[in-house]
Amino acid sequence: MSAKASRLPLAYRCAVLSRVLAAGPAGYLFAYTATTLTAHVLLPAVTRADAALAATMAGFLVYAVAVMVVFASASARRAWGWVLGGTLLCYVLDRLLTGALA
Amino acid sequence: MRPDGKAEGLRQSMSWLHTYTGLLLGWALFAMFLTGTLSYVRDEITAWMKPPVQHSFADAQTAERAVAALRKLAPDAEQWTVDLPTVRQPAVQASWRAKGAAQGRRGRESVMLDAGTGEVLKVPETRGADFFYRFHFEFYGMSVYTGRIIAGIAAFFMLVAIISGVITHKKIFTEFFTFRPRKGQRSWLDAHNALAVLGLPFHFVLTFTGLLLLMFMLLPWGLDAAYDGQRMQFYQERRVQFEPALERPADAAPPVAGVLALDHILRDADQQFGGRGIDSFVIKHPGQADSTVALRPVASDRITDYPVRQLFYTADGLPLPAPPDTATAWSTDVYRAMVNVHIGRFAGPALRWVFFLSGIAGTLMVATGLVLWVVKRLPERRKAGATPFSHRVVEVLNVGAIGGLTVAIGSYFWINHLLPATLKDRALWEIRGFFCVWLLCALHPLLRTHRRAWIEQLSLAAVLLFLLPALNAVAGGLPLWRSLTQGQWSIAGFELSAMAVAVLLAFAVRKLRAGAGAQRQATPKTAAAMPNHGVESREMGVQQ
Repeated sequence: MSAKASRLPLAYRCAVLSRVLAAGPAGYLFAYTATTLTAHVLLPAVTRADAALAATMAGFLVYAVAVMVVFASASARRAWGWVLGGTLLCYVLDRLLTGALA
Repeated sequence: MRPDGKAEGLRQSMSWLHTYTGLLLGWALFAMFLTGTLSYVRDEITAWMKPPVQHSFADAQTAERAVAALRKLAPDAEQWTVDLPTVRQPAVQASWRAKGAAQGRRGRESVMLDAGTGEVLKVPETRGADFFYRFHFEFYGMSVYTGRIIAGIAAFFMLVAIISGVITHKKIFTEFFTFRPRKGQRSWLDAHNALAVLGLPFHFVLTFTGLLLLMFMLLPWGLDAAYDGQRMQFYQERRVQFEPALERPADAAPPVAGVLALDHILRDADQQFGGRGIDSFVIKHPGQADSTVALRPVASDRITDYPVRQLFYTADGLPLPAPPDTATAWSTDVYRAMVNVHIGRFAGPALRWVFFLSGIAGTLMVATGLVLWVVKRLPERRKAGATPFSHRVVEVLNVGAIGGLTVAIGSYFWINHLLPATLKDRALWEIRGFFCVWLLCALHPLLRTHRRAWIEQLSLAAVLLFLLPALNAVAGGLPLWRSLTQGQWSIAGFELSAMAVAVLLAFAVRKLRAGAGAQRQATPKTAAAMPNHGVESREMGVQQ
């Protein structure tokens, strides 16, 4: 790393790593639950193919926005809160929805 | 992302995100953008890479000639396919499927025919521009799956880089009209911004649609949710091919084996297609009583069309029912439109030029962004009094990726024309040559100063591209003056474009050469305003 970068505190490096993990793997988990929820919401109204296409296209935008929210948050802890909170919310809503339809 | 942990604005955090998502996959993205842009002119490049094809000129009898050739080549085939010449490539591709042949591409045999004579052309084995096309989303030397996953991740990084770049750029519309030449970092930033803003809709759409083409590989969960885990059903639903019922009107004469009213069918279909021209036709069960002909128009003018609407006839010329217009919901239309935009399916010559030039703008946007990373950190370097290792790594990779790929593409064309036509594994040797040149170009900047490495590689690329017409003229292709006078626009267009790119590269080389000298004469005030140039020229002076 550069001379300047090597003087950066370890805490900063950890914060960056933490956010990278929150944005990458955790963000993907969020995109996964959001896409699944969207597909299930759309399913009664449109064909299966349409539901899959619309949910997946929206899923990528959700993922991209999630990545930016993670890096725009004031702290890494808050970033994790957003992503995990969103994931949990989508998951619970999806369970309730599929339970209600079944 | 401030190291001191202080709060920062949205713009600052997005700037950080933009810089690092852009840098990390910037080199892969450059290669994807450049080879993807070349894919817009895939037919033209491939035609140029097969010199005998360049001498083929179509006329009104081309289709008849192709069918006559197929009668001789494959009289007992299950079906014949004729891909007619287009404005994009001048020869006929005639292919057939023998009775009982394997399904899909494996069971297909094909030859190139001279459109003017119907003779089989002796075309040297080459992957042509298909190599660039595959490379731009699958790379090479790895499984197709791995390649597509990497390309998908890179495209996702690009999407994040574009959105965060827009947020970073606060005065997006005022600065659109700003270019401050000869101001070092400012100029690089302006160029990066201008290229990005100019083509923003294109870059965003191309990146997003590219991602969508790979989306079910990266994010298959929507598919799983909608199909209850039975993913393959989605693909099966889409693969349904329309087969018209062979119903003859009661008053029509009974079908006779061996009759083919090709002239009538072509004229009628051309009229039905509204004069767009016929791209290809398939003759099923040629020579038999139940023979049918299916035709495709050159390109659909509706961007939501997929696949392109076909017309069907019996061999003696009776029209058969066409597939019904299927009602689709908006999401399928949106998806098809996006996919069609990405592959330029509906683009005529003018629109294809727009796509090509926008692709070049995108390629240059990535390249200027990568160069900007280096230029922006020159003051930091001057303060430290040495070049940090990480900066040197980025410098070397920049030259190797940007200059190196340009040289390798130029070399690929040269190798294609210089290898003996009958060489075993010829297509493979072309690709091996391409990668050998690229590897040498990746190592070369390790031995040279940064500026010298740029100058040498860009000069070499300029020479290689500028001399392509000369090479083609002596290696059996159609010389440029003849392709121009005889209207072989696909070939002339390729050669003139290569020369134009060479001139631009030569211009860049001249700038690089003049750069170091000019900055020494700068007044102290401007030198202070752009310290990076001062240090760069001094560094160059020390290193040379």
